[in-house]
Amino acid sequence: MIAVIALSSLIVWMWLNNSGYDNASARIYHEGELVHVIDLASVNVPYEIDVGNVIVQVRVGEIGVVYSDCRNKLCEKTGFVDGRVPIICIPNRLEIRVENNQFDFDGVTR
Amino acid sequence: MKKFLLIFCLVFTLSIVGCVRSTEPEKITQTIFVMDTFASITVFDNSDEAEAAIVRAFERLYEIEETFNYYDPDSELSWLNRMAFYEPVTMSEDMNVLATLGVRYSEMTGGAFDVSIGKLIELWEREDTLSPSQKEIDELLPYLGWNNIVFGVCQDGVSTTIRFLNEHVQLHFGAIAKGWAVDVIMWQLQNDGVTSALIDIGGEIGVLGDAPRESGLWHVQINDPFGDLEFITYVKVKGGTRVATSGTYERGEHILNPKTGYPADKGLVSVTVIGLSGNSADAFSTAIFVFGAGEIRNIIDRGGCVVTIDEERRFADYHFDGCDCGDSVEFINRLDVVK
Repeated sequence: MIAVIALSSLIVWMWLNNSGYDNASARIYHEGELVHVIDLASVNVPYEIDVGNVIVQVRVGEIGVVYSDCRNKLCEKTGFVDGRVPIICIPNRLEIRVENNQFDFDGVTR
Repeated sequence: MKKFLLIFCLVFTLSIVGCVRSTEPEKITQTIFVMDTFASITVFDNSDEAEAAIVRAFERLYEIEETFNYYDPDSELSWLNRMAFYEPVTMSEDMNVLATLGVRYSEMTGGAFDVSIGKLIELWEREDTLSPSQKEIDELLPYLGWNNIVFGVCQDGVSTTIRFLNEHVQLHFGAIAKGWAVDVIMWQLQNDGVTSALIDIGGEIGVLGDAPRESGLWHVQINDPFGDLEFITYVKVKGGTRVATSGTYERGEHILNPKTGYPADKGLVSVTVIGLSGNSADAFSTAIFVFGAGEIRNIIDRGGCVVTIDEERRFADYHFDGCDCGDSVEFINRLDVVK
C-alpha cells in the first residue's frame, strides 16, 4: 500500500510540475501589447504569422523571425529559440518570449 | 477497510500537495514598450495589490520616458538641450538626479562614458549616409565632454540649474537612463509592499527580495551575443542586485567611444556589470565596453562583478573587493548541461 501511495504521489507531483516542451509557450508582444500566445507543443505543421513588418515562423517547440524589414536583422540572426533568450526587434517594436519550465532562469540581461 | 484506508491516504496526499501548491506565490508578468525598448515586471505575490503596483510602476516609467526622451521635441531634456547654452535652465528633480549622476560617472570613467555626446550620437544615427565623415567628427569632438556642463542654484536657493559652455554639448542619457529607471521602479515596488519581483528594462535587470526557489537566489542569464546559443552563462544573485549589460546584441554597433568619435573597438561584444546600483552598473558597462577589459580596475572602484565576452568568444569574470556577488557567476556549457 505504501508503494501505491508513493506512486500516486509521484504521478500527481509530476503532473503538477510538468516540464519541457509540454509547457513551452511563446508570447509575442508588438508595441508593448501582447498580440499572440502560442502553445509550441501543440504545433503540428510549421506556420508563419505576420506581426507588423516582421514574419514569425512557429515550429514544434521553437519560434523565430524569418523576415524583418529592419536594418541590422538582429532579430533574424537570433535564430529559433525555445526558451533561453528572447527575440527582440527594436525598430519594429517586437519582442518574443518563450516560457519554458525546462530552463531555470528568471531573466535575461543583454 | 483496506480500500477505505487507501482512499483516505490518496486524498490526504493530494490535499498535502494541493496545500503546498496553493501557498506558492502567484507569478504575474506584464510588459510594455517604453524608453524605446521592452520593459517587463514580474512579481511573485499573492496580494491583490501586486497588479496595481505594476500599473503604478509602468506609469512612472512613462513619466521617465516623457522627461528624458532625446527625440521628443516636447520633452524636458529637449528643452534643456535647446536652452542650456544660452541661459541656466532649472531642472526637475528627476533631471537633477540623472544629470548629476551622468556627469559624476563621466568624470569617474575618464570620459569612456560621457553624458554630453548627444550630437555625436546624432551624427551616427543619420539615415542619409552610413557613417559621418572624419571632418565632421574632428570638428565636433573638441567641443564635447562633461567638463562643459556647469551646475548652479536658482534664486530660491533650492532648485538646481544647468548650463552648457558651448552650443555643441547635448545631454544624452541612453547609456544610463534604463539602469536608473530600474532603481526607481525597484524602490517604488518596495514602497508599494511588493516583496519579490524582477524588473527588466531593455535587458537591464533588477531583483527584489527572494526568488521563488529554495536558495532564494535569482538566476539571470547573460545573453549569447553571437546568437547561435552555443553556450549559456548565468549569474545567481541576491535580492537588491542589479545586472546591466552593454553589447551589440540588441542594437548593433551603437556604442561610441567619446574620445575617437567612432564605435568602440576594444574587441568586446558584451560587458555585464553586477552591482547594487542600476545607474552605475549601466554607465560602467558602457565605459568598460568602450575602454576595454584592461581598464576595468580603473573604472570599477568598489564592489561589483564584471563579465566580459570578446570577439573570440572568450569569457572572463572579475570580482572586486567588497563584491556582494561571491562566486555567483557560473559558466555553463550548453551541450553538457542544457541538452
